[in-house]
Amino acid sequence: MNFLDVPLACQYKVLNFLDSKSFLKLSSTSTYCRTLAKNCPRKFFNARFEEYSGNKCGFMVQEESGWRSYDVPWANLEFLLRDAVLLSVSISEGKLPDINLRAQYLTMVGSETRPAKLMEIFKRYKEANRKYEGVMLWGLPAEENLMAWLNENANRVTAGLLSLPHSKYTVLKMPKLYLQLQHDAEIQTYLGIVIDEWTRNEREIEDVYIGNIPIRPDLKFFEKHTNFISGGGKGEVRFGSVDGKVLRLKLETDERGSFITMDMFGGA
Amino acid sequence: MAPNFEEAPGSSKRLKEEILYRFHSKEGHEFTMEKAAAELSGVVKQISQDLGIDDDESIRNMKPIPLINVSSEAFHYVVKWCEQHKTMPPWEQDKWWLNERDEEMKKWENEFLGGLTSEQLFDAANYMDIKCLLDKCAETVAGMIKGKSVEEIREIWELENDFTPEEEEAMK
Repeated sequence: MNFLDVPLACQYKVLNFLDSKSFLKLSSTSTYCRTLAKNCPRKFFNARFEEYSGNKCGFMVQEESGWRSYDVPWANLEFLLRDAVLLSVSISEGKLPDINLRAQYLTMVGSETRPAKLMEIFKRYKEANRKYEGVMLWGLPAEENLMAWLNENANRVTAGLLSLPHSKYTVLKMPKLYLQLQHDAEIQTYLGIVIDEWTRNEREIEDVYIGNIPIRPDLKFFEKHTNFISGGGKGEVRFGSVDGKVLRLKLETDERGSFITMDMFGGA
Repeated sequence: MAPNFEEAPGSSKRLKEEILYRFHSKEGHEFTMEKAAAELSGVVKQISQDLGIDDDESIRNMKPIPLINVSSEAFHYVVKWCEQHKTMPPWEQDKWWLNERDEEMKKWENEFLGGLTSEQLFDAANYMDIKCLLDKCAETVAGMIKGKSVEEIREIWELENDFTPEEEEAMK
């Protein structure tokens, strides 16, 4: 079929159904498709890049089978990430491209991303006169200065429970906290703390992501105290709505996982 | 083989007891579509609203809706799709998880669109604003290039490589 004969609005629709790899390849087929991809309102929910070398870098996106890594020319990556809704960076090598500053959400992943490095990024954000929309602390040792900075400057903080041992009270007092629960071992250890703390403070949890963990009775807690639950990976989590309280439930089993996640996230 | 429009589900020779919308295709063929099926189309709903058509009798007396951009062949398939989906809950574009289909329906949809090789049905779904068909067409077209190389994508979607050698080099 001749793709160019398809109405423009439909072409964009098609692009939204492409997996990330096909999307990237399509942008390399012709100048028209490259422009189309650039202008496509589609957003990558969860893009991650690392390991810069020459004009290429590793580009990772979350898909059906988990994180997939592509070796992508910088020229393509730049526009793909320009509008990333959520950009995760691992900056173990200490390189920090300016493109980071344009991501709507910025997350920090991995214990290799040290507080000192985070503070460097924060400084650049502050210089750019903007706030973080989201900061994810994942497996990151909490540090007092960092927490204070986040309290003042971040609109939202996403934390995995591994962040809790050092900072359970600080993290839990963030204005907007999004929890990511991915490992059953974490939940065994820390879920009680979360429930106690949040119940005591009569808070609502903005968003809980539950991935790859079996359903357990205490997770029912989130039905009453969250607006948004998303589940992912192989651990299919199904909650019923309690008095309409849980507005969204997302199961990440589709090959378009990255987009679906974005949709759900964006609509929360 | 081209469909026989006189015997098709949307042909005008249908039971008079049914509440049917009438349509004229681009070629001037008259088609009918049962009310619930036709109202899957945003355009049909809008036209009815604009004309103040709010009861079954008005629908019966309504003039055929001219679909100047929809071929008879495409409309034939549109009718089939809509008849099959007329009892489904409204299509939610932003809440995709509400659009779950049972296995039987998914199988039907995949077989129905499996042979899609032209953009005609896509065009018709877009023109008539049939959201469920539009999304399924987009998904089907996207599926054509899944796992394909850049060269194969160009071939499948008839795209011309117009990059300069320098641009190509930069993308390697």
